[in-house]
Amino acid sequence: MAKILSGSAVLAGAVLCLSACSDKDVEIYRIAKTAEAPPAAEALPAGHPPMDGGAQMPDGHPPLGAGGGAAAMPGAAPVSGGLRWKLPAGWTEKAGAGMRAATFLVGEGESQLEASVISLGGIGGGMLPNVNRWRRQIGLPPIDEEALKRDTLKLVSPAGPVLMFDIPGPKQRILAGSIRDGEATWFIKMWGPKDPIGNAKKDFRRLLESLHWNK
Amino acid sequence: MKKTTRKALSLLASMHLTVALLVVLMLLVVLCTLHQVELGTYGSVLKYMRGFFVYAALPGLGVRVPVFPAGGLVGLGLIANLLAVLFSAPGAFRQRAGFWLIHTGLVLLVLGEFMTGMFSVETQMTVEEGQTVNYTENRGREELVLIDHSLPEFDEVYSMDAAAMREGRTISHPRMPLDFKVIAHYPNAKLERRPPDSKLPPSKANRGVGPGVTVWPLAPAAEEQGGNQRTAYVEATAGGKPLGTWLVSAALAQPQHIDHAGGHYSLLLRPKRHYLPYSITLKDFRHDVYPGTSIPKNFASLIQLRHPQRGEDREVLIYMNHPLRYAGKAFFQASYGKGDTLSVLQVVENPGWLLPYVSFLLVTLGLLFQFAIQMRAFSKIEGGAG
Repeated sequence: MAKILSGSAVLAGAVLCLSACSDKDVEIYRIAKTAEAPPAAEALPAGHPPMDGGAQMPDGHPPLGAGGGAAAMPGAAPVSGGLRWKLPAGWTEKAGAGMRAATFLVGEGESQLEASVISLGGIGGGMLPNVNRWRRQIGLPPIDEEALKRDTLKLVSPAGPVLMFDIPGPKQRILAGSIRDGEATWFIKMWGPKDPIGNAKKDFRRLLESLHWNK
Repeated sequence: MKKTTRKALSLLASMHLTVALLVVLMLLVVLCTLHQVELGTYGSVLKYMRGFFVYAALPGLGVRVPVFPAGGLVGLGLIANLLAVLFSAPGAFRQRAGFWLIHTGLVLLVLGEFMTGMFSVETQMTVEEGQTVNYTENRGREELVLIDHSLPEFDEVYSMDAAAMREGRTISHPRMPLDFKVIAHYPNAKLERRPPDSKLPPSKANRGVGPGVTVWPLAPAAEEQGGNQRTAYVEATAGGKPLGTWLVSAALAQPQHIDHAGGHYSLLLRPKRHYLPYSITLKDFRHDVYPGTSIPKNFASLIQLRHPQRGEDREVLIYMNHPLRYAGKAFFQASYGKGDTLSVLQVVENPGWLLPYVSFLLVTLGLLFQFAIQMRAFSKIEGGAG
């Protein structure tokens, strides 16, 4: 019995020691380059639950583990001046919350669509990694630089040249626009069910063509 | 057996001790339940069940002292009590076999819960359709990572435990190319874009995204209240020379970049990752509802499991109450998102997961055995009387 009790004490001591020691350690390891998500605009961390309450619990299912409810916010960059736009008819604008510069709402009720505006420092991770991340989000394979050039629509706005991307997936579709501001890159993105997003494409393009700087 | 040992064993085996321990356990369950309001489920379980003592801060001193036994200690007490009963019970093994099996089963039951509390690790794997993931994330722990992209085939990851971040503390390692001094640390904070004409004091950060962000420190929040977004300002130094101050936060999803001495590094605060020797690709996520309603009928993730070292490459369907059990881990269907194109798997690694099953088996066998012995005794008495 004494052995059992002293064994338990040793076990308890070992647990406490391990937890105390691990806090001070810097763990070093190597991973294959492909295992790490490339830097990308408006991305959740690789493998992170979706933002804006996108992750839902199935009815009757126990809650997730510790910290599971923590929402992520996209990265942001210092912005000089600010990007402005002219809203298409039927669109409403919500003030920027968290790291979002603005949120646009299209329509009402369950079929309401949402678009977001954010800015990131420098080139915001680069266009190709971002487009491929968007493609992956809607179940499409990645493309190369050549295909990206073919799929990029170059628009002109008072703020300067704007790149537009229309990425239709099997069930969902993404419309995105990108514009450089010297110190930062701005991204406007709309993502949702395929048909409603397709119907909003003309207005989305009008919005991109109305971009101007609030210097 | 010495007299003192016998006395100690008899005290340890006493029914009074069993009742006292069960009363303490009931009290702990009540306290744990009540405090879930302010601490959240996880925080409350951690305080009352997953330790050996419940601690409280001494008023005015800030020192935390143990004030009540916690679940771990009560569990150990129950195990000791049950074992003492086993060793001190009189009678031949044949007559006591049922009793032995029942008590051994109960010991294993308590031991199983003890092992779950102390050694089980719960993480999550979030994977989108078409995506391949070879790591799980611990949402209860965070790491500040510096990733060196300079090597051609691999990225070298320096993972610093975020719980070790304290204001004024420098995190360093002989092999890590940069040191990080914590300028400020907030266990929870809200981040907002800093307007260009902001009248607020300048940011503590002068590199990365920090100068364009305002940090509002918040009180720590329970998981049910939205959880914490740990945030800190860290100054990177190389050989004592400062390179600048960065804002790092769980709210910032993107890595920030540091270029130094020809090396390219990423800096990111993220949930603690555990890399696996195998990968999981989400081929399809299904969220079926009953026809004509939005009532869920089924959630299922069809995955491709690849383990090159074992030569495995197979499809697995994970659905409610049908986890994938693989390499010591159980992958449960836990959540979903992004218009049913993203699946969240709860990954549980519990070395004691089998113990409750063995325990129930032993208790059942013990009860049957005991019943049979009693039946035999009764039939002998009846036969004798007849």
